[in-house]
Amino acid sequence: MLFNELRFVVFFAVAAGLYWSVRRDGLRKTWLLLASWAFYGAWDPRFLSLILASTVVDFTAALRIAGSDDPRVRKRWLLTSLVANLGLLGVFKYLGFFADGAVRLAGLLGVDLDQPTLEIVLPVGISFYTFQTLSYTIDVYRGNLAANRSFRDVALFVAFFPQLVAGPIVRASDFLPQMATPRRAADVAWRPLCTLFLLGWIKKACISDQVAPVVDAVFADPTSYGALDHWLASLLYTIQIYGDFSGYSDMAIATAGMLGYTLPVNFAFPYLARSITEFWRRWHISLSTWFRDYLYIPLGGNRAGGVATYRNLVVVFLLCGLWHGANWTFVVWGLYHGLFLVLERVTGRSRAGAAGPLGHLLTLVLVLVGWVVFRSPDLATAGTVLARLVGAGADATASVDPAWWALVPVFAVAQVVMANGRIPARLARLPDVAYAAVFGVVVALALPFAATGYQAFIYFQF
Amino acid sequence: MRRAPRAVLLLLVAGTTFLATSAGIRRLVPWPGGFDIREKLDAYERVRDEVDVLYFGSSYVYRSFVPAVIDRELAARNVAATSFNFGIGGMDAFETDHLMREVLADAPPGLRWVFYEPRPWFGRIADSPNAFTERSVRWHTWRATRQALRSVWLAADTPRRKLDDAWTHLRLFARRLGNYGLGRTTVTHLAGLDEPSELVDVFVRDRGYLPLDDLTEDRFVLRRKALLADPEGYKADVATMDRRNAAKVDLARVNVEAFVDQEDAIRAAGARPVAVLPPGLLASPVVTALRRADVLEDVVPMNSPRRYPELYRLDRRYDRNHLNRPGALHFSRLFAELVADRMREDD
Repeated sequence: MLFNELRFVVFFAVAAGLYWSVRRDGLRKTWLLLASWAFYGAWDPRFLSLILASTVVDFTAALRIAGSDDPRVRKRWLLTSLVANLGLLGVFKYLGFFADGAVRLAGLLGVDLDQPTLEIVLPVGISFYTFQTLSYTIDVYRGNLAANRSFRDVALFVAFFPQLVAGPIVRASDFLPQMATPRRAADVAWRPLCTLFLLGWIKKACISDQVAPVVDAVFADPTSYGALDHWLASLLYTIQIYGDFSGYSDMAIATAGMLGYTLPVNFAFPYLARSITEFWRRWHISLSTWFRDYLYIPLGGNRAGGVATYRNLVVVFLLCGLWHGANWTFVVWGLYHGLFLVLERVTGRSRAGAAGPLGHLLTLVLVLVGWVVFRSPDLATAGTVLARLVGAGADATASVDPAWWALVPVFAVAQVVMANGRIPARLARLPDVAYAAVFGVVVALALPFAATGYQAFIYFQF
Repeated sequence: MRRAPRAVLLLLVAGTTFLATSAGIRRLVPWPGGFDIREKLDAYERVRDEVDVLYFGSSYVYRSFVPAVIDRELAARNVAATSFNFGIGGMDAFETDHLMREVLADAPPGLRWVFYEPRPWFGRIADSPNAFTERSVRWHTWRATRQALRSVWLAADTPRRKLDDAWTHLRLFARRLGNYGLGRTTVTHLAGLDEPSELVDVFVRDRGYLPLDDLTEDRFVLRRKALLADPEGYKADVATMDRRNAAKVDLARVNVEAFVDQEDAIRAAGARPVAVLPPGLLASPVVTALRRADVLEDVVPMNSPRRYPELYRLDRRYDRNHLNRPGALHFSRLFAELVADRMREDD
């Protein structure tokens, strides 16, 4: 069930309608939990058992950690949580990848091993809810959060449907305290949330899904296209992945808000960044801050200075790349970003950024090159596309409709206009009735430009 | 004002501006290109005032009715008629009805007869590869959607199947309501960037008829090759047609209301409805049953190999389902002969 499907609109109307019509807070939360499980079960009911297993392990581990003063016991339960969660993630997401790597390595060492045939289906959203639920036990272990004694509340934190399958990655310390006080419909800021949902939907359905077929065609057969088309396809992918993921995040934040819960901001106009360091403060913020707080800082962060900091950055971004998927393209993409972060730290550019438009342009080009690797199905394809970007191969037999170039400046202007916040501010000043009228008109104007085939959100595969 | 009534008011305001804006946009949305529909409508506009007889239906109608021949044969029998063929490939009952209603909404001043191909109003759609095409979205008006849901309700299908079909129809209705995904087609059309077509002139000249023999696209040629590769299979199917036409039908499972409603719309436009069954291989036991039950005003059943063996001769077929040019010429002469008397009476 996708946020941009009519099915979701019906689901949400029923779920939210019943939720707000129930007066007792406990019943409300139970209903929300059941709705969340139903939402996840609509993908594949078998994987509900994984979420349930994660929840049971972390609920128990947190209680045991909080209930003991013995550091060994506390550590044992934290390890249980880490092993269980990362174990599930490892088996479902990385087993095939590492088995394949082991076979190749053995081959290099002259040992012939049979390639194992592993057909493991990746449960949707497993990377997101694993990190989310890990934050709970780690925070309890660190003493930053009290263990929650309500299994229902912990289960709802893990399975909360707006952000279950593709984030934002919510910390237990941000979410569980919200559940302690009953939510009130009167406290919901309906207007900004409606605007946010609509904007997210437009980004996904009218932009991302529209350009997806163009990008898919070029990356499926890169040798048939020339340099200009590759630049266009790469730019369009840059737009597509932003529209797709930030669109999803907007809709997730909006739907959660309509149920009375606040989720963290996940995007802050990342393509306006003037350095890669700034880019990562604006892109997938909930993931980058998770890595910062639960990996980078425990590794020593920048406290040791110099080489240790650089090592920590590279390790974190290598794992950040791997978090996205079991593929060498993601590993290289993570390393690529890690190395540029190191480079910016070495040159001092991470604080200042390059001046003016040049800084934006340089950062954009670097990000775009990274997206080429990220989007490619394998490193060979990435190599082909990158070679074509610099003009290699003049044997193009296909071409992309040049009308798509028009989207690039339109998107750029829209980013700048939206970032200065004037449009939302003007909308906020409208009287309620005028806002409702404008909302209806904008929906009517946007719907004709939605792509007709539903495309799954790119980040669902992670 | 209390919160709940105020929320309802705001929803009403948003809903009203949405519906009004969407309705305005919908007036600009053209018929999907690539199926000869736009070309036929453009051609029809040029000859509209002269036309008094219209033919509606699927490719069976498209490839069978030669207006020039029919008009000439009728004239030889003292019936003055100027007809236009609105048959379109792949049109089912709902889409035919929708096109017909659009055309009849601004009917020619002298319109007297509407011959249409009555097809069962099947509500099955969920597993159709064409379920979500622009054509399918276009006919999902509330009237058509209601009839489609009625057909789904009446069908002898499993509850799950009915639910899937009903949900698909409702989704299509919603898509039409919001002109979902139709923006690019509309903008291209309004900007005059549609592929130019020479078919309009052909349709003005031949009043909507175009024989398959003139077409070279693979999808047509392959069907012809399939017929030539298996003539015995074709003959075997032909041999069963009359039996299939006479098959028992439970009218309680048929959306009779839709048939009646369609004929009422034709009468409301000042014309007389006549159902015609062109000589294809699609049996029509439902129409046979409706004719017996006096639901349909008038039926010209020409899909009977027993009564019209010459229309099923291999040398008159382009493919299994369609007549070639000589076949269509023969059919048109025969059709004129069959309907001349009733048309003369009406004059």
